[in-house]
Amino acid sequence: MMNTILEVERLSKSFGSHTALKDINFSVKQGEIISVLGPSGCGKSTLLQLIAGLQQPDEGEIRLRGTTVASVSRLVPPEKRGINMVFQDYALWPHMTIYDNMAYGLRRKKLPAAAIREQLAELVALLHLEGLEDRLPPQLSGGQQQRVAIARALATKPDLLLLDEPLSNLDMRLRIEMRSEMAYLFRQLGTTVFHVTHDPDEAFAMADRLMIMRAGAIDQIDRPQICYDRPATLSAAMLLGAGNRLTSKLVREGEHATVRIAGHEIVGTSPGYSKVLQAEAVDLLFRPDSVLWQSSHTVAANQLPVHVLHSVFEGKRWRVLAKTGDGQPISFLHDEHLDAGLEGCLHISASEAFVFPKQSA
Amino acid sequence: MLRFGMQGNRTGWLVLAVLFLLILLPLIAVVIQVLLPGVFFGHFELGNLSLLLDVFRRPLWYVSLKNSVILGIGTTVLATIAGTAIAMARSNWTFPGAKLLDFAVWILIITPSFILAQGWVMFASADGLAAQWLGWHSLHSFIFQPVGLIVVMTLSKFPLAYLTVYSALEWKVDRLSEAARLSGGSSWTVWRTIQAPLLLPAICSGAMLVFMDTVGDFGLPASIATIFRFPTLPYSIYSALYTSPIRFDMAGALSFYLVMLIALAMSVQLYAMRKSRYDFLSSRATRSEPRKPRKGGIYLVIGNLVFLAVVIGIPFGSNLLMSISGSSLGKGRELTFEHYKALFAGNNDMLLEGLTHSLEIAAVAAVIGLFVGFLVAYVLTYSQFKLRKTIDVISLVSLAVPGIVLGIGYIFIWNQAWLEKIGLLLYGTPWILILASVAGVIPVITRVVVGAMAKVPRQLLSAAQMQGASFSQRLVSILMPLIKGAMLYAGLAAFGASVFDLAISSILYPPNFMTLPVVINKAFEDLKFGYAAAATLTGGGLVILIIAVMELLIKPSRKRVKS
Repeated sequence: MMNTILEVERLSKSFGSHTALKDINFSVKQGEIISVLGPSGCGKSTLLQLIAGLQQPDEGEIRLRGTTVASVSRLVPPEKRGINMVFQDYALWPHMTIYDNMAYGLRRKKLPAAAIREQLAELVALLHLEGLEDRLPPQLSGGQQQRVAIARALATKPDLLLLDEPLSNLDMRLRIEMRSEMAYLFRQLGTTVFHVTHDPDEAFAMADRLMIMRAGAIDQIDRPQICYDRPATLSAAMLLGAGNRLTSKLVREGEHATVRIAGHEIVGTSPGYSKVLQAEAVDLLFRPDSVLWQSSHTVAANQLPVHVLHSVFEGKRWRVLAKTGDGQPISFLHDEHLDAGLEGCLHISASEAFVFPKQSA
Repeated sequence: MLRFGMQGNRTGWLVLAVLFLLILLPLIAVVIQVLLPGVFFGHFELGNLSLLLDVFRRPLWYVSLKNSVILGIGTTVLATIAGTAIAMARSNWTFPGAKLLDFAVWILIITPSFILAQGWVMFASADGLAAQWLGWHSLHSFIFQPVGLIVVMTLSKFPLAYLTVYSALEWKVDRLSEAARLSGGSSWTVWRTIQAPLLLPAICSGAMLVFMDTVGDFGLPASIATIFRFPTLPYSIYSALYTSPIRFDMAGALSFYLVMLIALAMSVQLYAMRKSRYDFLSSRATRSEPRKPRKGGIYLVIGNLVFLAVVIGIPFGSNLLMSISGSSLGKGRELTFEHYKALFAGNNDMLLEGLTHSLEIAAVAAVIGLFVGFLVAYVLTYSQFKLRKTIDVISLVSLAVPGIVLGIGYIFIWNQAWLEKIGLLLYGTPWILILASVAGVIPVITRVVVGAMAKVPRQLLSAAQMQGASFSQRLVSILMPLIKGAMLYAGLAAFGASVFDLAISSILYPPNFMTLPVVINKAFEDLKFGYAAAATLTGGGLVILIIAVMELLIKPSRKRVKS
């Protein structure tokens, strides 16, 4: 059975009148990679800082390997927690060589120079940093700096590795390359990782479990595929790509709720809300790639007539902007260009259309 | 809730305690002395506040207050206009000799005002250099009257306004002006409605700096007192202490007025700027690049050279010329080294003694000040200490408080009988000079070091902490190497400023313990202009030499910064 590395219980933190985190509970097992996903200001960075020991909680506690490291009355400083972190901007010390940067933590542990050299040689090879050891950080490319930051954090063999949006400073090509490399590396080493990001693709690529946050609270914590298929909240659905949001009238409650839009009934999925969908007005959400364009209306169920406004070529496919019979905007992906003014129908898959109570998020 | 135990908090409390002891307590003492006059001298009595109203009854007090206000306002207006205009010209245009202007500005800022004022006195007095060498006999009557003194003060203090405005002009957001042009504004309208209002905070800050520095200035009234009676508050405070009978209560009351004057100026500025939001710099800001003027460039060059000849040439040239001019009657225009010889003549070791004392005090003050200033800057930049704002305010207040007021406060605090029993009666010992000098250099060091720390992201320290580095290890292995250049400059600037601090030295020097500025000023008061000038140049030269050698020895190596 895997050991629990990190436990967070009833954690809250405020800054003045602003509540950054409220009543957060979760745990992380050894070797697990958790990705925290949420929009700016949702509290994910505050959570990371609390786990790192750079902030003190107002309520609740944090335990590492069963030992309380942070509570209202206790704060174990970061250097004594046995964790390490890769910072968003890498935080490489510009006055030290790459080797000195990587050796810093091991020197703090008073390891003999030979042992440090041996350990770093492995990391240098693992992260393809050969030949860069004597250079200074500004002389490295963004990707190289990022690998140095990872090597430096791994050098101390932390119980828990924190990643603070580690790929956000890289260009898109490098980002895609590095996220696969990192996911492979951490699984190879069995490192326990707590990873914070606002990029869903990065979170999917890295995570064993996804933690979706909004307004200082956890919306959902589950395996990435479950989060994708059954988002627990409206904002989780939007964050995971369900960008079409149509105001509808509830016709039938239940796990497969039926709604009416511009006189047409659409069956959707109501994850976790089967009993609370009581209000008449609800939101129907779906992703642009979960619908199928049909140029003529058929008798099949879940069809929504739309009027095409504009088509934009996105490289592989066309993104079509359209509106429903009651004037609500929709965007969907199609293999071909559709002329403005064209009338047609969208077939919406019932398992990929999510019904939520109406809210402002 | 304030929590002990967190490193930032421990350092925060330590810093707060030190700043309270060195800066706030002496200031509070000045106020308390007015309310409870005997409290620092062993007897408790409620103050007779009529002493405060005496400013309207005693002619000397009234004149001092009036002179301070006139000099302060006049210099502020003139120096702000001059500083702003010169800063705009320097930022817009490039011309031969422009770098000399930058150099001159810094020279004027670091040179103690009494040396500049002595230069002007030597130049413009009735039998001064202007009269002797150039035959300008009427200059005397122009300079030694309120307007003349305002002009002299302006020529010494305009760099404060210049530097503030020039720094604000360093970055510009062209988009803002371009948007105004596209909306139909002429270049003059754009300047008037967009650029000038955006510059207003800098102009106001510059003006306030000039005002505070002028009303608190002790050097000018002390120097011109030799030949022209123009008492200001700082000078009357000094007179209250050094004319028999010694009147601490009077010095306290006058200091109170001086503090109120500065507090009033700060309040006016805060009120004027209360609704301003000027954080207009965005990522689109570009560095201002001065360009060659399309026409009239030669006038800029000539104007600059004439200006430099006046602001630098007169005070420094006069000191130099006076130091090598013969002192006996009829030998005024004969060049000689007799004054330099007199400095080190066998029976006259006052200068050597004063110089040694000043250098020792300045060195100790710079080291202690660097330590305290570093911690203050650390707390302000990185800690989450909840009284950080208070620390910032105290360090800012100390920038505004004149040395003469600080000196009075030190007398009140460190001259109490009960301190003798615990061996802490510091008044009358060199330690009080050291403490006051430390208080004097903390604001300068803090500002320089805060500027350097602002460029070192907190993450660099957090990363070290994650690697297991303790607080002191983080400071020594990460922070200090990254800001050692700024630390060196801050330390050397503090050292240089302390050596020549006339106000603190004059008020606090122990009996038979001369310091360099006191020796120079006494010689000047005795009308030994040649000796004073030679002592100034010798002392100044030695300090510059020490600073240059220190810089050469400790200067951060640049060889590794290749990228």
